[in-house]
Amino acid sequence: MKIADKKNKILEFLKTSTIDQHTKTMVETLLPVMKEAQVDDLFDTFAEEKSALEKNSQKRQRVELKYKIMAEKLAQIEINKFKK
Amino acid sequence: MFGSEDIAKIGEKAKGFFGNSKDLLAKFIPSLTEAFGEAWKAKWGEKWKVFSGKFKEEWGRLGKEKEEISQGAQAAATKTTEQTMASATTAVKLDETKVEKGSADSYKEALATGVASLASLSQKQQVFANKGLDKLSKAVKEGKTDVLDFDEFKAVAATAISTLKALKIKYPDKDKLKTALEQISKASESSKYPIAKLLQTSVLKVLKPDITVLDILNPLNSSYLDFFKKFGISGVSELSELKDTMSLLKEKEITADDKAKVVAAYKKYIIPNTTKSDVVRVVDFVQKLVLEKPASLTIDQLAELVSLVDVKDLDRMIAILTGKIGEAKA
Repeated sequence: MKIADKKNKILEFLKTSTIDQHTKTMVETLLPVMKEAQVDDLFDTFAEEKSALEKNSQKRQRVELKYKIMAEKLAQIEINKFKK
Repeated sequence: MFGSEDIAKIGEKAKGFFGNSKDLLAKFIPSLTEAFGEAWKAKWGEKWKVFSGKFKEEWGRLGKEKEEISQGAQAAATKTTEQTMASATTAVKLDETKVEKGSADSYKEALATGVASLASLSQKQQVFANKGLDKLSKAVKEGKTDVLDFDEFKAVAATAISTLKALKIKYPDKDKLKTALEQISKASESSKYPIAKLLQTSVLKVLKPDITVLDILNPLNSSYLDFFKKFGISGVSELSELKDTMSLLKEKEITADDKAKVVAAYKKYIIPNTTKSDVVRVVDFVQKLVLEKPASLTIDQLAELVSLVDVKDLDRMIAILTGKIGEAKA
């Protein structure tokens, strides 16, 4: 990937990154003049963050679904018992 | 006692809960109790405690994992920005024990803008800018008045205007710009470039380029005249006329005609993209400075001036100062 493309991608990553606003501002401001090695570091950092956050979000969705199903089943069992 | 409608209702409540909240005991049990009475609470309480405990444990672990991902990204991004800022941060380092975090952050963001502005200059211009900034620092610290040469002046002025332009874009509202500049100024008191001191006339005079009419007329060196031509000035005679027009501001009782001439000159050569009414305000502002000769520019005045000038004119000045445009374009 060309350095200009990486810079554009970093700006895209910033929109969803969870780093604080001050650091986002610093990155946005300095990005145009950063050396290639620093752009590479930032690109890797944000790509890793995005991938890890996506995995974490999927795990959370799975846990939510798992407990939702369990809660529904548990409620049904208890109601059935109560009805007897 | 309970029909399928009741079960569906509980199922809906469970869905509703999981969609909106993570705390089973706080949300789910009260809604069940509300729907089916206190007997449910007594019967279900212990089971839900175990259930919600497991859920909270898993949820908490994932929350902690998310926090660690953020902290890792935060640390890495901060390290990279610090590397980019390294030389400038050393030069204008803040004593962070003396400033509040909010002020320090604003100062660093302004500094980052300055670093980006400086780094966008050519290597040669960066050397001039650094030399010029060093002279400014000496003027602040030691009261030395080692005047910047023309190249140093252009590089420092381009850096300063770029930084102010970025702040103007970030804070389009004049009062917000003023507040930001005040905050940055306050934080900069603990740095090598205290902004309030930089705005003192005694310091600003080192920025005045040391050019005489003989330099401009020098047939062996056309660089000065070439520079003025970028503002749209055709040659020496027009430059001389412009100088005379600008001198009109020194008159305490300037006539309406003379003032109109100055305004027209500003509009034609210096800030062509700024609205006529704002050009008049800029001229009023400059006239006040010329007549009153204050010991220092205030932050309020700086904010006023920056907010009056159109961003396109700031871009034009930067382009002229950095030699990025040949002939000035209005």
